[in-house]
Amino acid sequence: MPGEAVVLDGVWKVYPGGVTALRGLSMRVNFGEVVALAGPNGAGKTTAMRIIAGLLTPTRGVVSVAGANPRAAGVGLRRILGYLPEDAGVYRRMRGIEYLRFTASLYTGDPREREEMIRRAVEISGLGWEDLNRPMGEYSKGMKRRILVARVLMTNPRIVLMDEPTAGVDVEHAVAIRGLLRRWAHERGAAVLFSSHNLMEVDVVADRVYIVSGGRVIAEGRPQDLKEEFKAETLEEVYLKAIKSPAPGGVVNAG
Amino acid sequence: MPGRVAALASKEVRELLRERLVLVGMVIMPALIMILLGGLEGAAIHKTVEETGRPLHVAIVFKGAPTREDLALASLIAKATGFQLAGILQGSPLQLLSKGFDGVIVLEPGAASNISQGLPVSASIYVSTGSLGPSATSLYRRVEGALSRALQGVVAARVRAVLPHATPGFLSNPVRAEGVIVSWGREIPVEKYAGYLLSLYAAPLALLILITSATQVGAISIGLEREARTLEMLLASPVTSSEIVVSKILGVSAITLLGAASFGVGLAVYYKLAVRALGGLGLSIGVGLTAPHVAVAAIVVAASLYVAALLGLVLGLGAEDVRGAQMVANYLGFLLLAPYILVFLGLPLLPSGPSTALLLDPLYPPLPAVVGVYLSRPQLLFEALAAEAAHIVAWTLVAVKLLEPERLVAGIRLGFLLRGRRT
Ligand SMILES: Nc1ncnc2c1ncn2[C@@H]1O[C@H](COP(=O)(O)OP(=O)(O)O)[C@@H](O)[C@H]1O
Ligand SMILES: [Mg+2]
Repeated sequence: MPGEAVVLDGVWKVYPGGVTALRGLSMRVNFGEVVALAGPNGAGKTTAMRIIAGLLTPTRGVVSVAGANPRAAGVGLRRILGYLPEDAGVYRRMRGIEYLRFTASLYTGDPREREEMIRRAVEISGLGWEDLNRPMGEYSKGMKRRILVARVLMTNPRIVLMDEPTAGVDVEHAVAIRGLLRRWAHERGAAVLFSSHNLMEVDVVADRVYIVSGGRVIAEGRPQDLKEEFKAETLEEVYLKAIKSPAPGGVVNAG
Repeated sequence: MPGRVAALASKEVRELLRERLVLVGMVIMPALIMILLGGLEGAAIHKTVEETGRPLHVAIVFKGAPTREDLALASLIAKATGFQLAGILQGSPLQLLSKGFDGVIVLEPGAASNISQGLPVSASIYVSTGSLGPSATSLYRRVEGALSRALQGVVAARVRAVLPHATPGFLSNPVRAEGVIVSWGREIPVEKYAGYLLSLYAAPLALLILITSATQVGAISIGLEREARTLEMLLASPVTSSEIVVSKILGVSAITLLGAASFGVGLAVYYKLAVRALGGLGLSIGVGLTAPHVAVAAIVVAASLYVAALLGLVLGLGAEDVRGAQMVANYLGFLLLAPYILVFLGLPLLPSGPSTALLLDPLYPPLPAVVGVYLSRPQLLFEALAAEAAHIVAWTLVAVKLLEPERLVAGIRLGFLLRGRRT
């Protein structure tokens, strides 16, 4: 399903305390591609994710998700959207399998669809039956992240938002999660947006990347094109060069 | 969508029951406290009934001018019982009680001539209770028993000669006593005392327990979610803020009902242990209850539980974790429940000004509602009902407004104030 899933146009966000987190951020994500939101801590990645997920209202600018304003769209849009917050946690005393059942029942009343969702989640999480029957409070950080990723993908979302999905996850499982993101976009045709402060990860996973700093995009394009444009070996070098000499208008557009 | 609300609510109940704090504090404690109290009261009653050491300090008075025979009879009784003959009653027997008498026996003039005609002696027995407990009835039984035995002695020694044909019933029970238990300056007929205790002691106590637990469970319910950082994901899933609020209230109400059931079991055991120890005396609930009034009061109580749970949710939203939420719910709960002390002080009603102002306290209206039933004053009931309805609307709006994602994610940061433990 090609087409624009997410469009941000000149989005500003000033928090109630007066912090300006976004300064005219513009970006888009198409169905069928994996897009990365990369940049240092405090760049505004989480704020942008929350605006796309419909949890925050932009102070200025236009936001469109699947053609709708996410703040006004309501339950219908949230049904096709999967969002993994950066610091999402788990219900301590709930068993993993129970959590998956509970989530499924929020999305559908059809028992067969629910079973299908749970089956998919169990597969994605890679957790064994024994672990799924333990309270999630006993899970390691990586296991928590895996069940949360499974919870997001189990509903087969058309638009996937993951805020730092591999933070705190060991190498093996980080690789698995990266594979899932690519599969969801390339095989299932979903629009996948993930954030990361790890530019090496971005280089491997993303079809396109927006490098943000101080709430605006300082470079965007396919990782390969960006590296050529900046005559750099790695995306990290691209970032360091972009931050020193931002292009006129603030955005370097490669490709 | 009802399916989503059901899923959310049942998750709520399960998660809450898994918290030891909730299970022990809200579900097990109410029964335990009442059973313990019943055991203590029961033991105290047995002790009072069997107690022989302390002599009772009781005044015998006449309601009007006694005859010479009456006075002779009274001094015989005084001699037999060790009670004190105190002359003619001036004013109310309550004044004598307040002078430190355990009880007052008020005899009708003409008692002596009643006896010589084979008629029972009419007496009113007033006993005073320092505590709101069933032990007052045992005190009453001791005074009545002493009086009855003394008169039997008189009957045996003197009257049998004059009245050879007196009925065995008269001989064994020559007193027709009317008992009044004086509790906090209020005169309660003995046979209505248990009902009085239920409505003016147990009912507010039950309310107190239920309402504090509803506030606490409400706070814990949202505190758990805040602490586990699960709220953002929940808000991004296809549920609305009102669905979350409603399902949380449902879950909290279910827990509160469990608490109520537990309290009911406790109360039943309490009455079995404490009141039944007295041999079934005074178990009729004689407080003029009318069905519609009770129904209105029940609605007010249910409404106030809803508001209490909501209040807990709102407080929980301002806190960072469960302990913080619970702490604030406790402080505010105790503050808002302070008017309940009025009942225990025997002042159920303030002058209308302050008592109307108290209706602004969301946890207060059930109290005037119960008192309104007790005193058959519908106006009190309907004031309480109107106040609680206004609270429901206001606090539901506040809760739904606070649960707006924008506020939760970016807005109010009271956390630093309300954190139970530093993270
Ligand atoms: N709830 C909030 N209230 C006030 N300021 C915030 C809030 N959340 C984030 N910020 C600020 O907004 C800026 C962007 O933060 P964030 O979007 O979390 O960046 P990133 O995810 O890229 O690390 C930072 O300066 C941060 O301190
Ligand atoms: Mg972030």
